[in-house]
Amino acid sequence: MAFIGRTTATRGTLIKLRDTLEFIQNGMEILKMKRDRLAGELNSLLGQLTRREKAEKRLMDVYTDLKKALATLGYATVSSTALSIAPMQVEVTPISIMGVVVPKIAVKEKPQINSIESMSLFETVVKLQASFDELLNVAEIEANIERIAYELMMINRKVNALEKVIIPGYWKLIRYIEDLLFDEDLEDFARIKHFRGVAGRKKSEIP
Amino acid sequence: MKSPKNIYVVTRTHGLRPHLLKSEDYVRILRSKNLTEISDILFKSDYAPELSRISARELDAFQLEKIFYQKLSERFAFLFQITSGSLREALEGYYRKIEVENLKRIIKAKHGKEKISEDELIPVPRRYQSVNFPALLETESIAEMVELLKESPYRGLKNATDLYEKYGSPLVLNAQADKIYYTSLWQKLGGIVDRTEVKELIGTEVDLNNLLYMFSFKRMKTDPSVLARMIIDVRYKLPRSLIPKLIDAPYERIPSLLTWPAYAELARKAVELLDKELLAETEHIFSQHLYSYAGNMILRNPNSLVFVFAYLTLCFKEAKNLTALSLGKQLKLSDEKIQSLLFL
Repeated sequence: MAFIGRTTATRGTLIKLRDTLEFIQNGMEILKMKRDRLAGELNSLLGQLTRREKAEKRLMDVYTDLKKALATLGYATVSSTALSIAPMQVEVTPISIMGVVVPKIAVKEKPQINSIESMSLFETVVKLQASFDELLNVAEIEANIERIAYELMMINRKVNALEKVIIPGYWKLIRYIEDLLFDEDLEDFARIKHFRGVAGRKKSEIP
Repeated sequence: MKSPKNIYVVTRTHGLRPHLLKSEDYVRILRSKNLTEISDILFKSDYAPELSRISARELDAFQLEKIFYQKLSERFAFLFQITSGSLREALEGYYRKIEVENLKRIIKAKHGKEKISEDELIPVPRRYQSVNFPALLETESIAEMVELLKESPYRGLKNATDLYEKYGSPLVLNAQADKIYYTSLWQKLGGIVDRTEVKELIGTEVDLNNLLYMFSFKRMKTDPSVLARMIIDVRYKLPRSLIPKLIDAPYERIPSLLTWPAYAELARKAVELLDKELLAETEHIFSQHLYSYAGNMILRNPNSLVFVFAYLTLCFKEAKNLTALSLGKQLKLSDEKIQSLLFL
């Protein structure tokens, strides 16, 4: 450990180091708890990822319907109908899961589709809206997974660093200081004993 | 005894009819691999001059659609040049269908507060326009647009603005434009010879439009009061007393309410298709019925003025078929699917 050489081996330092070590170990436990919680969250989100496949399939079906509507009604009619429909309003709110900021997507305003004259186009647009809702959900899930996975990776690195480097380093330092202090104590004890012996001999020599 | 003018117009239209594409032409186009091949086939038709103006690189289904509708517009314009009097007025009235389609496009864009350019409209020669399209395109709102139209044949649009504001749907205004168009056309048809046959064709078109509105808006669960406003006022084989019953009844009951056998049969087919969720096919059978009817009118009345109107109806059919073919090919729809969209 780099900081071993700079540390003065005193009892005060030892107490301080033990306190710090306890604090680090508590912190590591909290990080592990956070990791477990995020891993649980990630597992539940991964289970929902199957929705992507369904959403894609539904979108492809709608796309086929839309192509059919385009061919039936003509591009100009469909595009002019599209002009009458306001775009979908979406609100993205950041929320925190165990300190990880993830986006929460909410549809603020659905497009009004009461300007569509053709029922086949109307049904296609209804299906398209449902697909967009599903896609937004999938996008939200994927964004959450991405951020939680990144955070998990960072936590793992921190826990590993604490477990493998920082905490063993502290233990090593504490043991080093303890050994030094033990040697000092032993030295002091031997010295006191020696002085006591000398003092005892001097006392007996005095008539 | 018909006037020489009318005989001349009918004879000229007989000459124009072979210029329309035939079923075998559609089959050939259907078999083509891409738009270039479609363009090659169409080079042997009336579309050649317009097609020659666009390079192979610019060729796409959207450009082709424009060309098809431009040709449709030109076909009308040609007939105007060889007609006069009440027939010309009636034909101009019929031609307003394109103008109404353009008006609907502008209404939709204004409703969505979006810009729309003249390029997105079907070309109508300035001398046959009854409204100033460039000025309408520049308007900021529907209210301003309706205000500009107060001196035009579409002044009646003002009557639908209250309902438009109430429901917030441009369909109300579109329906009003349709009503104005058909009512005015119906009046103009009263002044021509062979009016009975011509009214048979246009009346069938109106009835089919009304029936399709019934099925569509019931399916889309539109408010019945809006549906009542959408119905075109011209009465042909759908009696006035039947309309409220049709509006109130669920769509499954429409066939049993219709007294005219052809409509009842068509409505039965529509119910069957709707039950199978085949919506595009439902819309298709109504147009198919009209075009078949126009085809029959042409065969049954070769010397009547209805021949001219039926020919123009078939021109619409051709534009729709070619649009379906080119867009279908560009969007890589299967040949079977494209064929199901054609009116053959």
